[in-house]
Amino acid sequence: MEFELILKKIQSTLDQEEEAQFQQWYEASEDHRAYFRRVEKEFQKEQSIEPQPKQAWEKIDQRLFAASRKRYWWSAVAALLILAFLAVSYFFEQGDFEMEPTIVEAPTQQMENEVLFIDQEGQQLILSRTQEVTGNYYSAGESGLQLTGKPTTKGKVSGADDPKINTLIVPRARQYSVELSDGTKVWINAESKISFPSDFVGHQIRRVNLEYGEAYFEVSPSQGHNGKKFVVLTQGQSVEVLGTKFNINAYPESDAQVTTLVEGSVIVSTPNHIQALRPGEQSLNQGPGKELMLQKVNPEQVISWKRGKFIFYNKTLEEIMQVLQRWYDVQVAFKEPQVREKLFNGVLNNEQELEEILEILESTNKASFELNGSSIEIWDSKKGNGA
Amino acid sequence: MDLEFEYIKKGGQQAFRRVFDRYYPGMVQYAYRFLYDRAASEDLVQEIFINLWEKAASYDVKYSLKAYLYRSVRNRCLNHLKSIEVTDKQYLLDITISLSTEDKVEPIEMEDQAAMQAKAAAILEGLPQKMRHIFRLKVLEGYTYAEIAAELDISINTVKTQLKRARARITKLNELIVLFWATYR
Repeated sequence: MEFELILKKIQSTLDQEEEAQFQQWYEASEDHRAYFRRVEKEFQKEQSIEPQPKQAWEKIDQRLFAASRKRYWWSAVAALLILAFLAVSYFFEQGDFEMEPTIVEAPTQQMENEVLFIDQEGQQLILSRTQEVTGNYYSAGESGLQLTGKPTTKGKVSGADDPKINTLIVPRARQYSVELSDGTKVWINAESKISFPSDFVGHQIRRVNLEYGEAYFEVSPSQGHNGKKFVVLTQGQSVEVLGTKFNINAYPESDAQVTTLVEGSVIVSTPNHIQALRPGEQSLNQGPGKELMLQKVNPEQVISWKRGKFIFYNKTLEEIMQVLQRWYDVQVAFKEPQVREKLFNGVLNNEQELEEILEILESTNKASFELNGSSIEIWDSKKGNGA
Repeated sequence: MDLEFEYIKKGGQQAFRRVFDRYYPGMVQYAYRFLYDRAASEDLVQEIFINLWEKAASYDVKYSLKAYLYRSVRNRCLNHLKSIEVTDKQYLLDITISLSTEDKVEPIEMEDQAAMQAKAAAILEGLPQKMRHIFRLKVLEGYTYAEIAAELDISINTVKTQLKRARARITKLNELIVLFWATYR
């Protein structure tokens, strides 16, 4: 296994053959997995370590020289042993604390931006990052909501005419997830709204509505639910699923609703078209009357947002800034229109501080940025800024 | 001829202690850039020092003791990686280490050196001009941070920042963001 493949894995750029090679190595031993995890951590945030020469010298001294002093200084040897023991325990207690990643604290203004949950009774609940919320059919934690048990609707018999709809609204600078009553898992990106029933009892199909935003679905197979289909509705499009992994990007400001299939099969329907997708394919729905476009993509890159990353190839600065707006809850103003169209490649991670991201974007000499509080102004690169 | 090494060969404990104090931290940091495991890196370097003391007479130190010690670290680390079936024929570990180490280090055998430099030269092509210059001085010419700063009349911090970014580009991730290149439509 080449070290290069480890780096490519972290960056999600392995091709199929390399991925197979990687998996074989990765699954072969826990030592392999441990090494991969350490490299991944390191390359997400460069670690610095402080070696402990004093303790190390005690150990070496103990092994090489303590014996020769033995005849003369029994008590010194005893003391040394204790020291060495202390050194060893100190060493172990220290563990590898330096290697803990430094997690960048989210700006305080974001603390107010909490996830809003509207339960089946229409009650609005703020899901705070620090407190667990539990209801009679759900429990909500820091990173996700789980629909746990049979909902009881007060005084009513539940049935198909009683939709028992729940809604999650995820604000900017947050991501959230929900596990539906059928076991389907949904990851929800920043600035998204999704609604779903408390359970699917009495429903002919399992239906979820992505009103806007982006979500990644791992759908529990239909076989386990009396063959009930799973359907995701967005504005002007439905995606029908039999049990599969896929991503839908339906932000209102983007030109197209983008559906990407990772695994299994889905059928994308618009008023004019019906299109089945195969894994690795992506459909672009550019609105009524337009053709449904199809293209091949690397699905791992598309869903990298769910690991807090955004991988982009030949994306315009405008598209990149749309993501930054959502992740960091900032306003962007292009001061010179030609900058919008400039193309970039790279990897963003949402634990990175915004200032640092802008600084690195600026280091390409393609554009310059000014951050004032929560607004960013963008110019063409300043003249004379080049090296 | 390394004077400290001659003392060590003759059983000089003081010289041994001086060499240990001087090189131990750097060697551990060097090992860490291969293993990414602090405890294992410290153990590995301690073994090298114990070996140096016990087997100094059989050592063939051609150039400097420092180069010899660093080469031992690299060889042991690569052996360790081999045991977990990891190889680095692309010299990516060596190149990234060269970028993130203050010192001039020559731990690599001549044939490896040539192959690494060929790889580094290829990487060089993709870097912006200013970064390319600094990268060349550090990796290919073996300058220290301070020497680069003096040569280009820039601050040592600028040198460090540029090299950190170059490292990010090579590893294509680091710090969570990387921009490899920017193009116009």
